[in-house]
Amino acid sequence: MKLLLRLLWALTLAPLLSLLLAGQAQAQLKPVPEYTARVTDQAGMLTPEQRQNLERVLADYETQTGSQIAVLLVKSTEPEVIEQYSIRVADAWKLGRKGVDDGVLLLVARDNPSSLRRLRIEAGRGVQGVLTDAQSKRILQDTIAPHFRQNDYYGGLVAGVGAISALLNQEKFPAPQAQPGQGQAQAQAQGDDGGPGIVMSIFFIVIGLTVLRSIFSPRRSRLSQPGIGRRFDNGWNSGATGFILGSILSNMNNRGGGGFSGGGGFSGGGGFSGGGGGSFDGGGASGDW
Amino acid sequence: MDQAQHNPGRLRRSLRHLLSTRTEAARVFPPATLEAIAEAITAGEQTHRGEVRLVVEKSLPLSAVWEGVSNRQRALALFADYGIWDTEDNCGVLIYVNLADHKVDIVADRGINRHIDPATWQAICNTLTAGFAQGRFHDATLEAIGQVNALLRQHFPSNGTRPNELPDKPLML
Repeated sequence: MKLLLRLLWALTLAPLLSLLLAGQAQAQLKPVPEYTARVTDQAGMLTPEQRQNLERVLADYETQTGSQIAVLLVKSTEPEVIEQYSIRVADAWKLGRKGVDDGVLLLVARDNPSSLRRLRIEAGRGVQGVLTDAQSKRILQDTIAPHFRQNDYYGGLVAGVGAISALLNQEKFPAPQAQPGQGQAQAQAQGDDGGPGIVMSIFFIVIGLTVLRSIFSPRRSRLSQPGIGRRFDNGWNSGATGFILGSILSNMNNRGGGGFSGGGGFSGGGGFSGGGGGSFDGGGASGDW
Repeated sequence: MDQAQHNPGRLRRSLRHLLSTRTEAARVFPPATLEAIAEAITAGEQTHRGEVRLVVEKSLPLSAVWEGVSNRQRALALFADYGIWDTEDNCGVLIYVNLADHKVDIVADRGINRHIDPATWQAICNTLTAGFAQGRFHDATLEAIGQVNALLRQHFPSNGTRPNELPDKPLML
């Protein structure tokens, strides 16, 4: 039965996957630039001086608070919508500190048609409590866009970064470490002696494993994923925790269930209703009738 | 991986979820009840800053049952799917009722969780389950929503008018 189910999964997923891959190869996605500075200007929207100023502001903020804010300015994200591109950038750059996940990406695609959207704030999971989607939208619309409309790109970015950092200050994050280089991206940019080859091969192995798991494990469906807002995850982490959590849960379930096998009561749920949500620390209660 | 051998309750749970029907769900939560609940939530949200959402589900998709998704996990997934986490003050509350499993889960967002301890939530949860056990779905639900409103009024009193961030109408899935 189990095998059959799995086979079905593989059969349905395989053509979908190949379609997806073929589509991507044809569409020629815009490449994600390498992370070399907190402010990356590929569209020539800032003068070198402005870029340095902004860079300094962000660097200061990072040493003071530990939270990492990056700005990326590109000409366009076609054929993707800006959200798809920004997620790819966020996945590649891994902004913010590991475990805290307090990175924020401000992405501008100057020449995007309005259907693909021009502005985007991508928030790490750790900051989504204060930098909610609603707040992000407000910053983009009310703080940044008015400046941009008058071609005052620098003014808009400064105001936007100011608004983002003001919001982040509402949340208490762990203090920055004395050593510089908390961000993974920073560490990568600094000590890149392994060469791009290793990074690339790790990248492909991770992708391969993720794909394999999605084929062979029906557990990775949307329903069973605990936790929320995993936009910043790179697939591997979430998959692994979900899987481990799942095995623990199933073990518990199993222990609880044994006693019930004869009766007509409920199967051994109850035991793990407190668990679940990966990184979600909300409250609540469970019960049955 | 090898849950098939280790999950003796799964077949029975699948059957229970298969047999749970929309008609039965509509019998215990008729339109009049849903309307009364929506009104109670709307009225409550005039007096506090919380956002309350009730989701009643007749059964899980079979694949979810097969994977052993717990009621809590399902509640958290819905909490995410319906954006209950995305409120200004992190003050969303999801009351999730699964009719096939006879289970209730309450999920409170971070802002609220800082002020209200689990025992209080458990009490509200018990109001629901005790009432449901006696078949008093209408009364028990309204009573529990009244308790939630009172609780939120105490910790998050309203500070003037504010937009209704989430729909008040209960969701029947």
